[in-house]
Amino acid sequence: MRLGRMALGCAVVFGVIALGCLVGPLIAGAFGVDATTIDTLRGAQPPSGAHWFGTDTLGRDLLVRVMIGGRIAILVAVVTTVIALAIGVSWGAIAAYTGGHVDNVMMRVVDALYGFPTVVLVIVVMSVFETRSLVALFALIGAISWLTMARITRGQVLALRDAEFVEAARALGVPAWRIVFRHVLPNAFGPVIVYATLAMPQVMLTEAFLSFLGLGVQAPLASWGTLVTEGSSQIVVYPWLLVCPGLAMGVTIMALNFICDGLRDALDPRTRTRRS
Amino acid sequence: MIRFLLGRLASSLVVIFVVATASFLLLHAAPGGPFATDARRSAAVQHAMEARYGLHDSLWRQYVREIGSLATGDLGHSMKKDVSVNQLIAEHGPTSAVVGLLGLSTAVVFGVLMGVTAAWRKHTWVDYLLMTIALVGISIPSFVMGPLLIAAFAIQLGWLPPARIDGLTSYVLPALALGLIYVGSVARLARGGMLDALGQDFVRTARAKGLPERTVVWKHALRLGITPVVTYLGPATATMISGSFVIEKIFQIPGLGTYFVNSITDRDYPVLTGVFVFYATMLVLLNLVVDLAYGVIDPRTRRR
Amino acid sequence: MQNPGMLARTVDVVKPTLATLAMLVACGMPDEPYFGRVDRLEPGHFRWCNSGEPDFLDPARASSTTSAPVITALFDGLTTYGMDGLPVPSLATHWEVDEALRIWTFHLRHGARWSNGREVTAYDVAFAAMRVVHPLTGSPNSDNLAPLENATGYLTRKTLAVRATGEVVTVVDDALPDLAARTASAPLALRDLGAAVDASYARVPAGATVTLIATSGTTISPPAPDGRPWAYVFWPRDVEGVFGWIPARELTGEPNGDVEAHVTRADGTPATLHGRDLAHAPEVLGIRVVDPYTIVFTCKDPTPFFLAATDNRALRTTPTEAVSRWPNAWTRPEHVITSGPMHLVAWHERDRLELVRSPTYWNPTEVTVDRITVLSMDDQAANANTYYTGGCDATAANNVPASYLPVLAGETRGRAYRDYSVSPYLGIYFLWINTEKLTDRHLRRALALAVDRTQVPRFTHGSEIPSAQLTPGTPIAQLSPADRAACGVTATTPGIALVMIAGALCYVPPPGLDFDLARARAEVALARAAGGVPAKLRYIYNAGSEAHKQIAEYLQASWAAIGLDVELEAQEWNAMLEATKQGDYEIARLGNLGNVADTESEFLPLFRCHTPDNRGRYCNPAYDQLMDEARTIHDRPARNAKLRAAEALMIEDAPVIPIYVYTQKQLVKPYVKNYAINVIAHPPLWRVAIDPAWNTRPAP
Repeated sequence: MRLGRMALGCAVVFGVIALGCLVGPLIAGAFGVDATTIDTLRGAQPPSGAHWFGTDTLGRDLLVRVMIGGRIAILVAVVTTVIALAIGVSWGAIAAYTGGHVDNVMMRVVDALYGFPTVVLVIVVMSVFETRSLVALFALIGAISWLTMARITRGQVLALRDAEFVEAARALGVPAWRIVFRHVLPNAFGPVIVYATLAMPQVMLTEAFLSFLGLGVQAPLASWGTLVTEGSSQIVVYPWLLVCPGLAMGVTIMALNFICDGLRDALDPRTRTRRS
Repeated sequence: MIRFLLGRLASSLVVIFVVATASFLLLHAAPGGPFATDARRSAAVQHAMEARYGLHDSLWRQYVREIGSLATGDLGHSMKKDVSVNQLIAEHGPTSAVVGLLGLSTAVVFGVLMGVTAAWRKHTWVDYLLMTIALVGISIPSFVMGPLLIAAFAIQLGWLPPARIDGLTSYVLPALALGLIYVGSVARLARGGMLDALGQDFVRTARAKGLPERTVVWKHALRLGITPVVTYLGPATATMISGSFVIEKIFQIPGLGTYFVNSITDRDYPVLTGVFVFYATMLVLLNLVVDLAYGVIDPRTRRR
Repeated sequence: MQNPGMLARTVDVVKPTLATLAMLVACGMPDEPYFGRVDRLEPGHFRWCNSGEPDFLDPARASSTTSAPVITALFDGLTTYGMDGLPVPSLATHWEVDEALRIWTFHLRHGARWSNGREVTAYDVAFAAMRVVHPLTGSPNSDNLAPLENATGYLTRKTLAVRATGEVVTVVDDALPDLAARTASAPLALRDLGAAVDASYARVPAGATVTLIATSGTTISPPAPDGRPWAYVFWPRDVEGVFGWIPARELTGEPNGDVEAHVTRADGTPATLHGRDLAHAPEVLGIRVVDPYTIVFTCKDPTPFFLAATDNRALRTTPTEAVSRWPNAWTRPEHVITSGPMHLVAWHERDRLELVRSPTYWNPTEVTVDRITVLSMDDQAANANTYYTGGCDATAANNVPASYLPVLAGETRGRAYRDYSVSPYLGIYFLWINTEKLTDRHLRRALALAVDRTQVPRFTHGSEIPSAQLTPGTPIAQLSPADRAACGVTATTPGIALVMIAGALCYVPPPGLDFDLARARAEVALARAAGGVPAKLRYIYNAGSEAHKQIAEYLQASWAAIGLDVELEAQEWNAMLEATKQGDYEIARLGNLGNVADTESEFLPLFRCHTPDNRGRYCNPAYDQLMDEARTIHDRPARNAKLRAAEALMIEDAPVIPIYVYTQKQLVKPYVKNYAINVIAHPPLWRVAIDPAWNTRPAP
C-alpha cells in the first residue's frame, strides 16, 4: 500500500502538530511559560517574541493554551472517530447484508437515536452521574456520531450485496461474516472514509458545545473547540484569539483529510488495480 | 411494495413512540422544573403555578396523559406561553421549512457540482482547490459563518437586511448560511461517491462504447455516485427543515429550531416532547424516502 | 419585587457566542459621531429593539423583563413608572397611609376609560389583585401582594371565611377537596355582571361542576344592577376554561358541602366545620373598595415599600370582560381591551408587536408618537446590527454583544459613539457561600478579601462597577450634588449609594470586605488554626457564558494566591439553580436584580433565615432582629440607618461575596427624545418622542 505525495506531506504536518502539542507545553514550562498563570495587567497582548500567539484576556500565553487544547482536541477527534467507525460500519454492514426484519429493526434503532434529544441526555448524565470526565465525553460523542456512518455503510453495502464477486464468494461457501468484512466492505469503504473525515471537525465542535454545557473540558483547561468559541466573542478587538486556535484546528483537519484521502485511494481495490 | 411500506410505517410509529418516551423521561429526570428558574418565588406561589399544569400528579399519570394526547395528534400545551404545541408548529414550522428547503437547495446544487468536478479532475489542482474550499466550509462553525455573511452583505454592502424575516430578500442570508454548513460535506461525499462510480465496470463499458466523457460522468456515473449524498441528506434534511437553533438565533427567524433548545432551558415538557416528536416524524419519513430513492438510483439495491 | 427571571434569560444553556464580525467593518468606517445610520427615522413612529419575545402580556402572568415596559404602556396602574423609574401618580391621583404604615388608601381619578369606553374604577384594580393571588391563575407575581392581609392563605386555600359570620379561619387539614365547587342545577348562561341571558357568551350544561370565585356586592366586587346576589364562576371547559357571572340562585349543588374541615379560629381555638359553612372568598383579602374611586389595601405588617408595588405588574388593571371570555388569549390583539396610553393592534410571535396611541387614555397630551413597534429579537448582535442599519431607534438595556463594547466605548478609534451610554443597573453580581458547608466565617471572609474586583472589568469589557458592597447603586463620584447631600457623602467618599427619592432619600451601603491580601492571609491562618479549611473547594457557575467562565478562572487564581485550592465546575442553569437550592455546593455564582430602588424589599431579604432564595443558608437571628426593627420605623432615614446596620452585620459574616454592580449599555438614536434610562431599565415607552428636525439645530 502506498500513500500519495499529498497524503505523505500531510502526515508529516500532522505529526509535527501532534508532537508539538505533546511536548510543546513541557518546553514552554522550562522557559517559565505555562497555561494557567493569570495576569490581567498583561491581558490580551498581540503576538510578539515573548508570546508567539499573544495572550488571552486573562494574560495567559495563548500558544501553550493552544498546544494543551490540541491534545484534547486531537484525542477526542481520533478516538471518537475510530469508535464511530467501528460501531457504524459494523452496524450498517450487518443490517444491509442480512436484510429483511433485522435490517428494519437495526435501522429503526438508528432513527430513534437520531431523534433523541441529545442535549437533555447530556444534562441528565451530568446531574445523575455527577461526572465531568473525558471518558463520559468520548462515550457521548461516540454514541451520537456513528449513526450517519451506519446509514452510509448500509447504503453502500446494499449496492454491493448482489454484485457478481459477492455471488461468487457465496457460491464458494465463504461464511457470511467473511464476505461482509473481506469482500464487501473494502469495496464500500470510499464514502465511509470520506464521511469519517467529515466527522472530525464536527466532533471537535461538538466537544466545544458539550464543554459549553458543562460536560467534558472544565475551565481553566481548554480545547481547540472551547478556544475557538471563546475567541469568536473577541474577534473585533483581539482577532488573534480566534485566528490562532482556528488556524491550528483548520490545518490539522486539512491534514487529516488528505491523509484519509490517501488511505482511501490506497485501500480501494478498484483504484489499486487500475493504477497498477 | 405495499407490504414494505406498511411495515416501515408501523416500525416508524414505534420509533416516534420511543423518541416521545425518551424526551419525556429525560427532561423529567433533568434537575429543576418549568417554574424553578424564578429564584425568589415563594413555595406557595410555585405550588400554585405547578398545580395549574398538573405537575403534582405522579410521573406515570403525566406520562399517560402526554402519550394519550399524542396518540390523538394533540402535542400538548406549552407551560411557558399561552400556546399549544400544534399551534406553535403550525405558526413557526413553515418559516423553518422555507429557510430549510432553500438551504438544502444551496447545499445540493453547489455541493454536487463541486464534488463531481473534483472527482472528474481527480488529483489535479482543481480537485485540491475545490476540496480545500469544502474543508474550510466544514471547519468554519455556523456561529462564525453567519456573522461573516451579515458583516459583508448587510453591514458593509447594505444589500440585505441583517436580521428578521421581512420580505423575500431576508431569506437569502439565512438560507446561504444554512446551506454552507452542509455544502462542504455534500461536496466531499459526492466526490467520494463519484470516484467509486467512475471505477465501476458499467462506466468503463460506457467509455469503451465511445460515449462522450460529459455524458458518462453526468448521466451514467452520477446516478450511482450520488448515493452517499442521498443517504446523508435524509437526516440532514430533517434537521434543516425543522429549523436550526443557531441560524434562527443569528438571523432572528421566528422558526421552530429555537424550541429544540429553549424548551430544554425552560423545562417546558410538552413543547420538548412535541418538537422532538415532530422532528422524529420528519426523520423517519425522509429516511423512508431515501430508502425508496436507492431503488430508483441504483437498480442493484432492489430486492429480488 | 418579583425577580422576573432576568438572570435566567441572560444565560441560556446554549448561547453561541455570536461573534459579530460586523464590527470589523465598523472599525474601518468613516469617523461618524453616531453608531450607524441616522437617516431612517419615521416621524411619529418609535421603533424599539426589545431584548426578546415577551412571555405574556397578561400582567398577572408575565414575569420576564421583555414584557414589563410593554405591559406598562398597555395597562394603567394606580401609579406608573416615572422617567427615573420611581412611581408617579397615574390612575390614583393621591394616596395616604396610616401611622402604622399598614393601611394604604388610594384615590382614583374620574374619567379614565378602557379602550371599549367603560370607565376604569377601583373595582378593576381589586379584580386584578384578586386574580393575581387566586390559586387558579398560578401567577408568578403573587409574591408582590404577599404583604397584603391573608394573601398567602388565600393563594394556598388555607385561609377561608365562615359563611354565616364572615369570620376568618385557617384550615389545618393538608388536603381538602375544593370547597368552592358548585354544580349547576340547570344550564348556566355565563355573562357580564347584570347582563341579560341572551348576552351570554358561554353555556354551562346542567350538572357540570364550576368553581365559585366571588359574589357581587362585596368589598371587592361591584353590586349587581338588579340588586340581587350574583356569582362569578369558572368553568374548566377545554384547556382555557371560561369565567362568567350568573345569578347566584342558579348554583344549587355543593358536592363537597358535607366534608368536615378542621380549622383554627382567629383567637387560636380549634373547630370543626362543614364545607357548606366555609368559603374560599376574596373578602378575606386585605383589599377593600370603598367606592368606585377609592381603594384601601391593608397589610399584615408595616410595609413602607407598598407604594413601590403599585406600579408593577401585580397591580395593573385588567379588563374583567375580556379576561372572563378568554382567560388565556385575552391579550391577543383581536380580544384585548386596554387602559394605558397605548393599545395593542398586532402581535407577531417572536417578531414584533405593534402598538398605537390609545384614543381613550386619560392623558392624551403625554403621548406624542402615533405608533410604537416593539421588535422581539433575543440576540444581542441582531439587535445591535438592526440598530446600526437604522431598523430600530433605540435598544433595550444591554442589547449589545460584548464584542461590540470596546468599539462603542471608543477603544479602537479613540472616542466613544455619541449615541452609546453606560449607566448603573440595579443589580449585583455576587457569589453565594454555602454557610452550612463553610461554617468558619474566617474562611468565608478570606474568600471575599482575596478578590481584587477592580481587575474584573478589564477582561469582561462590560464597564461593570466593581463593588464589595451588597446593595447596588450609583458610584458616589457620579452622583449629582443634590443626591450627594441627601446621601450625606462627599464627592471623594468611596463606594456606591442607592438613590431612593431623587435629592431626598438615599441609602449608602456599608463598606464590604474589599481586596486586602494581607488580611485575607491572616483570616485563612485563623481558619486553618481552627481546622476549618477543606482541602478542596468547589465553585459552580452556569455554563454558556464566556464572562462567567473568565470570572471563575480569575477567582480561582485569586484564591490560589492565599493558598486555597478551588475547583471549577460549569453547570447548566436549571441544574445549578437546583444544586444551590439543595445546598449541594460550596461557592456558587449568582446575582440579583431589583425592580424597585429599595434594598429592604429587593436585596436584604435574601439573607433572612429560611427565606426561599437564601441559597447560602445563612441564618443570623441578630440580622433578622435588626430587619424586623427597621420595619417598624416610620422615619425613612432612621430606617435606612437600621438597615445599614443589618447589612454591615451580615457582610462581616460573609455569606456572600459581591463582585460588581451590573451596568446597562444603551443605544439611542440622536433624534429620539425623552427616552428614559433609569436604574431599573424600565423606560416609559409612550413618553418617547421622535424629533425629525434634530439635525437642523446646532449640536449641543
